[in-house]
Amino acid sequence: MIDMVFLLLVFFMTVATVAQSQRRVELDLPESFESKVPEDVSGRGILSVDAEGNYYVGDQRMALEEIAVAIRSRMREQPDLRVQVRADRASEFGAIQALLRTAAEAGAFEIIYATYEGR
Amino acid sequence: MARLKKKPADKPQIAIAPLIDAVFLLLIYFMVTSSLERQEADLSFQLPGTVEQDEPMDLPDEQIIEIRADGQVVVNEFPYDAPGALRLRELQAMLTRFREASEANRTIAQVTIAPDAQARHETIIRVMDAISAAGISGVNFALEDF
Repeated sequence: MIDMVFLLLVFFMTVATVAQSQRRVELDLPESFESKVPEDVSGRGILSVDAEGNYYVGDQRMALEEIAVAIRSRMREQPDLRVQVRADRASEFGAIQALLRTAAEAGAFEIIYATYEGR
Repeated sequence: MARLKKKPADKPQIAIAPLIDAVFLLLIYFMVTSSLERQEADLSFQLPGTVEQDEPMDLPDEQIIEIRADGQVVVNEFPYDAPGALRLRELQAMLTRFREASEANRTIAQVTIAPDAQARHETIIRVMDAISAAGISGVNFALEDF
């Protein structure tokens, strides 16, 4: 009986975490010693850049122009939008620079880099 | 009499099978949780406003940190730390002095990072780490090509 309860508990916990992580592209983020795990993650648009320089919104691959349109439309609803950039540690700055420029042109100036907490 | 003698030996028996079940479950649970994704942390900065940039304004103290394609960090033509170093201590020490000097002059220490287009994101994060550790909060990126 208790075994079953345990099993169900583990099952649901695993499913919940897997479901949460599926919305993002899997990347090898860089480590940072100064970063903090945020308590408040609301009001962010998450953009990902992989090591090859492809851009993603969620797990959907997108071109820069589409991202610009997406940021603009979100800025209209939410002027204090913060853009979270998840870039692979091997990404080249050129790709990120283009993304930052797109964000700045669309009016989003507050950028957050996603990192892993250094140990 | 024989039955009475046997009884105390029965008592301390523990059912092993469900115990193993539970241990297995815990084992699986910890294996699953340990292999889960690491939590993502934040490192934030402000981009320069494209409009304000062109206007003349009271410029605070500014240092431009260059990052070369090979990961070498260069400030004012002077290289800091070895490329690929995990913690940029030389840069951090220099930036701490820079912040203290700015504070003494009552200006705001401002840092602009100008990486090469081929510079790895990892190096940029390390530079931002050093800046943050030096207590400087004004971080910018050079969005124009150099």
